[in-house]
Amino acid sequence: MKRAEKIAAALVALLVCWLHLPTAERGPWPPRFSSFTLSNGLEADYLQGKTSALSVVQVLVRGGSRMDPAGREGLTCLTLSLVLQIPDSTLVHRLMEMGSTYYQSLENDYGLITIVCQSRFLDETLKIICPVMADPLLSGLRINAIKDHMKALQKSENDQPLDRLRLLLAQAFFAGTPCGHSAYGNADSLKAITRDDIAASHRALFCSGNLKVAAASDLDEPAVREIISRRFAAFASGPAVAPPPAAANANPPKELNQRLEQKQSHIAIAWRLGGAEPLGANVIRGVLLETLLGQGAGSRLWALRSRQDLAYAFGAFDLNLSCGSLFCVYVKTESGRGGEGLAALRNILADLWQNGVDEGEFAATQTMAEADLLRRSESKEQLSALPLRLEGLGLGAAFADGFASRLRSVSREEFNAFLRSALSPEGRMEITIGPEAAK
Amino acid sequence: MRPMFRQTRSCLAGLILFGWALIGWPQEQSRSFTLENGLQVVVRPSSGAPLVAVSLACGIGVRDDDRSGGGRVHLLEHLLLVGSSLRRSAAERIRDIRGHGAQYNAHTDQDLMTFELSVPAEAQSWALETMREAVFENRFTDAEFANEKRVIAAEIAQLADDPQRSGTNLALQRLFTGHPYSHPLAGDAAGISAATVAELRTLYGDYFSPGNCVLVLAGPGAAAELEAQVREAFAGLKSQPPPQRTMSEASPPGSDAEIVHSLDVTQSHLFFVFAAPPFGHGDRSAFDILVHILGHGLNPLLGGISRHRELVIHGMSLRYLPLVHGGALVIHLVSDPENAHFLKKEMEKLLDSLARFNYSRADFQAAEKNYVTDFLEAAKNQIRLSMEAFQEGRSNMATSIGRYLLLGREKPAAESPSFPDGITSDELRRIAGRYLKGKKYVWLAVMPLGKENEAR
Repeated sequence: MKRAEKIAAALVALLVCWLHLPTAERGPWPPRFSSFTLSNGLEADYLQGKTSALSVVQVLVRGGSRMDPAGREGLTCLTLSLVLQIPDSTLVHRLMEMGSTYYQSLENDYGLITIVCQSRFLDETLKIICPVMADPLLSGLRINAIKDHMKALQKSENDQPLDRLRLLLAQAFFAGTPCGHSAYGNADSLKAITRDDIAASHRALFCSGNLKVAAASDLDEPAVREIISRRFAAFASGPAVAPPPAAANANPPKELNQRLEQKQSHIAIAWRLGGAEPLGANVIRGVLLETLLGQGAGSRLWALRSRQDLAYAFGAFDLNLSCGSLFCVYVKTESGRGGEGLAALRNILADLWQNGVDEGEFAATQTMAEADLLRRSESKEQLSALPLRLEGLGLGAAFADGFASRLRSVSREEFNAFLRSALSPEGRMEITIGPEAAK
Repeated sequence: MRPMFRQTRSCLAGLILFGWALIGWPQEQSRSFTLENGLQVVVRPSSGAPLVAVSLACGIGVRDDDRSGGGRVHLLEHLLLVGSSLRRSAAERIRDIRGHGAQYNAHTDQDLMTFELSVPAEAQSWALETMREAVFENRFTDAEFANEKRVIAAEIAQLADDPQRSGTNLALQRLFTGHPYSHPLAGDAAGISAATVAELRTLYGDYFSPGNCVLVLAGPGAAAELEAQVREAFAGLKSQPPPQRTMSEASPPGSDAEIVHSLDVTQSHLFFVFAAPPFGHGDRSAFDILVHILGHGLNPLLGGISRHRELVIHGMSLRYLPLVHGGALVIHLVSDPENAHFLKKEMEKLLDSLARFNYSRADFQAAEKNYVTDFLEAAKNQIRLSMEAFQEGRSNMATSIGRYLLLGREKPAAESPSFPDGITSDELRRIAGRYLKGKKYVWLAVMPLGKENEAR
């Protein structure tokens, strides 16, 4: 299950592309979004779903942790956290009593706020949350509390080997750029962030041109449109942010080691995917490669478990950032077998690089990738997040048009040519996190 | 991708909710029946994504392993999942599963083993055949047996590195000391090493009969059509008497237990584990509401401990496990190591206060009503919301239905399966007094290396 979650981002992008196809081409599922624009210029999408009486409203905040100024890393995370701090305790009580819930997540290129409630409470829930998002209380007490919490999240990121691996990859491949730091910042950067910094960040991020809303509900479209239009009218007009440019590190290290006193080591190989190719070109290839290498029983990495008894846990994931795409394969193996694990990963990649895939394996990979798209589109929360995440990556609807058709029309020869360039041993980084890493 | 401030929900939420969600079913569409060979079946037509979910719950859990730490039931689960069948090799099975785009998984807990298969709707018949093959037509080889022993050894090592999972497992083992529920879910290295093929084949023969299982199919199509497909796939299986088992109820701990464990982490993970109402017990619904009040939603009651800034809780999750012969509440808090000891004291104070807490606005005088939180109403609405979300995922729904029905054979539910609107603040205080106030419990701290003493 966890492996499936790790590839969600790429699958999300793929499914969003699918969403934009004509109904006749993709069948009756997923249902189509309809779009509308509020008077302040804020764009919104509506999706009807009758399987449950709950509503999901998601707010895309363009920019992401990439917007953090140098020396102020963590600023965007802090801003996103503060806009969901409801200052009036009576209103907090009311939200609790309705059972409504909300949370936010932050990526390199965008933030996403998710609000989930029973549909009968949709208007009342937004009535409480939207004004605070538009005009949060930036008190010193609240700012310090969030900073403390972010320090804890920095530790948590450090304690989870896979989270640590993702951060290490971003730091190594995008060192010195806005894409190469933790969204939670560090002790010094959090200390440096002032109330004025947060106010400026909020003004830039929470204006109509920088936000996009998606609502999925069993309520009919006119009712939802009316509620969204009324509740999101409070946001000031303004343009989308322009993220600072960032280029990948031309000379990333060949090797990274981090000592962790555990029973097992994470052994990984990572590389840039697609080189100078635009991000959009890498997304579909990344999904197919992820599925081929690390998605479940029968994938290429499955051999580490079924034939070489090296591991229970293995996986592959790609990191799609607007700065570029990264790809990583990993295995978690017992202390003392790290060298064996690394050799096994190298062999799998070398075999794929040299020999490619045959028709049967390629067809199964395509089938599995498409089936995973369906599994990732069952809930309203998943469905409404998809277009926003793609938008947040900067790919947009134009990129999406015809994407699913291209997935199905990718030939084995084309894919093998891609493998031949993407899996070249040059430019790879080998990572060890665990007891076998040098101190 | 990680949400920043989201509460972790119990992975068994579906099981707990299902008793209530049952009432919300469009009953006229769902169909329940039992085949002549004893296999109990529910078919659930569903709209939405063109997917089908097949779930099969079997009445065998780690409680049925007669050696503590044996891990044989878990090993058997692995072999059914990825071993050869009467018809073909493991490699052929896996290739076929992949070629159909299927997601295929299995889980073993104290009471049950469940198998889940999710696949595009056009492969519905194939999914049923594949489930039958995996569970009822398995013939794992000696080589597969040997390989899976090594895989499980790696899984056990992986669990040991994970503070949340290892802490939960160790605390539950201590809570259920002397009862088969104390067997570690994954087994231990020595037990796995000692397991034999003959033992596993005996377990397989004894427990994997249609009469000891519940099958749930959720997917597009009319109920009659789904029923016909199930009959075609499963009616040919031979019946066999279900296994007979007698098992005592797990006793609450006779004394408090304190365990300190260390890992290479920077935060401390604190576990407070209490005995709780078992499956089918009349207190289960009220206890579940209390768990929601304590640890779910926007401002759970346990979060109040953070009112002292130095005792801030960085993460929190609550799991309520209503097992057949005993229940458990696992409270997991993440904090800075230096706060571990004080947090324990604060938690004891808070849990003691729950037996006199005002959960509902109705508990207050008129002048105060506008300034208080109605925790009882909040919990009921959280549950209503979860029940709605539950309708959106076929696999979870199918598995939860199967579990609920199979556990219900051993312990028919004493509580009403309807939504517990009638539960009152008085009832919650009674439940808190019965299960939490002053009760013996297991406290376990997973501490960073070198900081073990800060827990004491």
